[in-house]
Amino acid sequence: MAEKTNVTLTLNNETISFAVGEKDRLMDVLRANGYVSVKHGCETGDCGVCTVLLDGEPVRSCMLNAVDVAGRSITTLEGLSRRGEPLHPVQQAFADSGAVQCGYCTPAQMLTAKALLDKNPNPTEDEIRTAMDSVFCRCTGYVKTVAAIQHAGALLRGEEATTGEYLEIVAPPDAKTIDLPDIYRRRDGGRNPLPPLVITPPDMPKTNIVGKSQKKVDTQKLVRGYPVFTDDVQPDGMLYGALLTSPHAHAIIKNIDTTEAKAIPGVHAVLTYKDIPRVPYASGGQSYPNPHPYDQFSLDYKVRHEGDRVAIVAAETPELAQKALRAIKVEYEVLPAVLNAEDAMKEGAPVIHDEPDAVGIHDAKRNIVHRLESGVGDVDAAFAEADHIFEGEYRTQKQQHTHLEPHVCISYWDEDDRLVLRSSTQVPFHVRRMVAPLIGLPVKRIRVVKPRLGGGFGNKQEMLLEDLCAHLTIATGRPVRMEYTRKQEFTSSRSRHPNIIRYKIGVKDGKVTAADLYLIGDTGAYGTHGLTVQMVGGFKGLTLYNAPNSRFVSDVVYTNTPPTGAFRGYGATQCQFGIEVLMEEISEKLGLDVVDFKRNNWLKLGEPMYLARKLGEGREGFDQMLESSGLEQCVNVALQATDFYRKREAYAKQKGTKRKGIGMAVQMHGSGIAGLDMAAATLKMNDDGSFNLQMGATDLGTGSDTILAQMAAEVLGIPVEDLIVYSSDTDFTPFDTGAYASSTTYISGGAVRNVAEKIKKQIQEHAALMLEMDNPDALELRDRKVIAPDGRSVTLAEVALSSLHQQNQHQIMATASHISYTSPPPVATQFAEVEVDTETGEVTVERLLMVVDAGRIINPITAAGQVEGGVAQALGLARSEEMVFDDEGRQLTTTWGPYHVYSASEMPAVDVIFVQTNEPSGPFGAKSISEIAMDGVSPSIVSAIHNATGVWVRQLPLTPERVWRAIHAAKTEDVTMAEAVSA
Amino acid sequence: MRETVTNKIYVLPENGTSYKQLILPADVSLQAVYEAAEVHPMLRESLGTPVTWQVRNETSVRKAVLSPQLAPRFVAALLALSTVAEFGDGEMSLEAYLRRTDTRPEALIALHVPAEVRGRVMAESHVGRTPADEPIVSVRAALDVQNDVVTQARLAFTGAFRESARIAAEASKLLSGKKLDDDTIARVAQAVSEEVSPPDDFIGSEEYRREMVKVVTRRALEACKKEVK
Repeated sequence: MAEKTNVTLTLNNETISFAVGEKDRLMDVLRANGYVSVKHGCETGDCGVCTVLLDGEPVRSCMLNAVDVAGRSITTLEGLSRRGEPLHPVQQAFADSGAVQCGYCTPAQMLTAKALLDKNPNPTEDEIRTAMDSVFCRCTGYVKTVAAIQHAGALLRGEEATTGEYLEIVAPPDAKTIDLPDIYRRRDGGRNPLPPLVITPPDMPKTNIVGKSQKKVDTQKLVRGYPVFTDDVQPDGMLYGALLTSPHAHAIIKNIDTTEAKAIPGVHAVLTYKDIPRVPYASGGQSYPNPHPYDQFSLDYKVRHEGDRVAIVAAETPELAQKALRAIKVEYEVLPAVLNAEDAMKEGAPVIHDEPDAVGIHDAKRNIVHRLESGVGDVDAAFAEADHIFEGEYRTQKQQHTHLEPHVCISYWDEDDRLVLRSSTQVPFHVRRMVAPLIGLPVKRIRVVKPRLGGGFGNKQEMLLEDLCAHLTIATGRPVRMEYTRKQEFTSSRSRHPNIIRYKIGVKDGKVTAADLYLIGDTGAYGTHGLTVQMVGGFKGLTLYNAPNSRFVSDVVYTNTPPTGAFRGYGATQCQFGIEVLMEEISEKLGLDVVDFKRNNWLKLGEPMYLARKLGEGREGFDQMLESSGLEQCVNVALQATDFYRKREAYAKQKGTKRKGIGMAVQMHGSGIAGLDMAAATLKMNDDGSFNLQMGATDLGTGSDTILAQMAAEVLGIPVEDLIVYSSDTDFTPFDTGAYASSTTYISGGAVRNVAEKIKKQIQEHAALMLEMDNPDALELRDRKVIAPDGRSVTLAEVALSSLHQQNQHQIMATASHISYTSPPPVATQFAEVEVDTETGEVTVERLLMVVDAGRIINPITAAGQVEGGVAQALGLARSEEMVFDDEGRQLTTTWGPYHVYSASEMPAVDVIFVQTNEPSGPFGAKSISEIAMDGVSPSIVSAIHNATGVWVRQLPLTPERVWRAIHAAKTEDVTMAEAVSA
Repeated sequence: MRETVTNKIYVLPENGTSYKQLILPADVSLQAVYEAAEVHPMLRESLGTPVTWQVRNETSVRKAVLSPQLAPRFVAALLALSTVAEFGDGEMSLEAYLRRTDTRPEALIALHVPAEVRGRVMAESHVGRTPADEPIVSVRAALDVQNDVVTQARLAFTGAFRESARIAAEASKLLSGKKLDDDTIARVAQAVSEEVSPPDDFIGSEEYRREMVKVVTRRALEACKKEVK
């Protein structure tokens, strides 16, 4: 055992001593002693979520040894306000401004903000942004972070100030003559946070709670840093699990010797493929039956990418667990690796899945997992009749989610010998079903608890640690914790599919009459979401312009790279990048106005989506029609807000090195998976007229708990604070497929609306009994009362007490489900303004404006937060984020430094305008919001670069070198798109 | 030059034979340097994003010098400003100090940075993936100019050599004795691109970095030229 030193310091204004080892990190010591607001996000000091104040100055507690802070003063978030005390103004401002999404980085952000305001009570916006560069946030895009700190400054200066507001205007149906508030035109070129603008049609039904900026129901616990995340609560006797991963991209484990590792005192289990059953499975958290292939095994004798699973250990301390990993002797037979999809399909390429027991691989010898062929109409005839045919190839890269909270799971046996998995997952119910056969337990002996999530963005729609953690608990009988390192997040978790996107488009009389999409999807070493991501890509990428003659062919291909999976956007982002750039290239070639050309062709209200039945998600879908669309209005608003045509014309004439550009794109997404996603919710009335709202829906930081509570409150005529919201736990909440596919507002919202209606009916019936009325339907629920037409009323508390204790005694309670056979697309337009340095290829994005029709906006602040955060992730995809490998398949981008996500100081102005429509199938008219924010940024920036320079860049990310090469190539050759056929 | 070094940043006044010296004790944090009123804007700028507030608080001047990858633009700025390293056994140029292999970390006592040198013009230029990313290549130029003629020039780069920060010595010499005209600037930019030995990686290929070295050198020297005027 390492020697311990007693270190005395001042912690949150109290003198305290810790016994620490020489190399114990301050972060670990603080967390071990209950200061769990200090978070772990990486091991390299990049993310800053472990920030504490050292003598008032922000420092990263993961980079400091505890012994080095002896005698110094440390402040953690727990020191800003204690339980029961009023919030510190910084906490209050973050809570009120909507700056808290998942809440994982929030403690570090607030401490840094406090340090800034202590030093500089009235910082400029730039000073705030620069200070916040030290703490990454992957959810917010920093818009509301900046607003919160500005507000906190005002509060601390004793000024009157408001925050967390939105503007709403009523507009005519076409929005052509809208009286746009001038701030949204950004005439000053600034990037100060603007409140979201909500444009409402005059006939939108009125609501009381829905549609308002209700503060998030989980705000208090998040701004106070309470122990709400998976790793914040650890059971007694817990062991530390650790994962040995492959250093090779492709190898057979010839021999693995665990003798020495097992002999280390304090090591309780060392497991390899020899120790656990060999059960093929797919790790993607999807509905039963999981789509093929079943090409994974919890542990295998072969490794197929750097970071692949080799062995697992459980030990008394993290250090012992690492020591045990180092003591495992592995003899590999290294095999040739193939790192890109085109090479992988070639004759003679290394075969990645040659195991005989994998299930459902289309052509394992050519590494093709799936071959998809689908279509409608007579594509060849339509091409033959077309006036023009255009082709374009576009490429997108492998992007990592980089949620701040790593994958983490704690498993233990409960008092009934049932296995509990406390896991940071987006899909608790899928995990329960999927893990059961792998660990040999029936579903009824497994409970999955989802605490708060520190972001997921699709990556936690995979079962990555739960089976391993469970195996270790089964082997040891002890609680076990497993957490990915940041490097493992890059090498062992999931990522966005790199795609090669080849479109062929036929145009006749200005209309897109034929479309052909060939999509190569690189699924990495395992199939997981390979099928469904490409199907979504094909459907969305061909439906935006909805040619009646469309063909989709896709090869989903294995490579020796970390598996890809679900990532916000899910194929639609990649394919809409391709189609949007190609549509603009076509408009240029035909001399058409790009907006007019797109408008003439985009999916219109009342049109059938031709491919909806053919391209479901992993199976046949359902016929669908567009029943709400504000796309025309969205584009009209954006044209006005950006002064698009004037700038576009002026920028096209520029000379010189630094050139401005403006671009646009349109996009559509979906709201859940039609005919597949199902959600349920339970409402139960309590003695005081409050309600438990129990949902399987999984709030991963999006604010879904809040907006779902708003829907229930709207129906029941109560404030949101009368709802006790709980999600999700497979023992105590009803089923929900999980938080993915932009389903929660629409599908889970439908379930909440349904259950609230049921409860309302029960309340009306009981109140009618109390009021001796014959017509319960005539009773109105409002202001926590049930009110009769004659003015008499009973309170909900009286109804509760009566129903539980006095009259016709029963529990007012219900569960309801919801499934939809349509997936109404939210639609949007993205406008981008850039400056391009033609000598260097640098692109500075100055403004991103997104105008979105997501149906009824349930909560403008949380909805705007979704757009702002999505746009920031999309900006990273467009500009810098790329997982890069050397020739042997070793990843070069396993930290945030070389990977580079956008930080606060470099974010452009990000503006959000909502054009509300009333989707007939949605709860209160709502559609979805989360994923569509990913789809338009890349093509709109390409459009803007073209406006500035005249060149097309068809591959992401838009690095300076790539743009520079395109500009240079344009000087020497014709790089404009080739018109293949001209009829 | 040697004085008793405290743990605070201070300025030694001009003494007739020497310029004012800004003294950066080895133990002070980069944040103290960043905040010090006496610090030249080029030094302060070099400590901005992507060097974060937290990193500045945790990193001493000593650590920054001994691990130049932590704040390469800061080290480049120090090199451009003709910084002298004071250590246990004496003093030498920072450039020479960085080349030493026998230097023990604790040996560095302070950095002496010439301040307010008459006739000195300075400029910075860089190319980056995004505005707050570590630049792909950057240059910091410090030129001493008398009667329109450059008497001494130091061009310090990041992203252009194997080292995190390094002076392009040969190209810098080319400037001495020359007027800062367009022809000289073009020749120096070309010379720099031939002198550097940039890495070749996914952030920027060798070819691209070489071309960008040319661009940033020209831009920095053009900025210096404007300042001279």
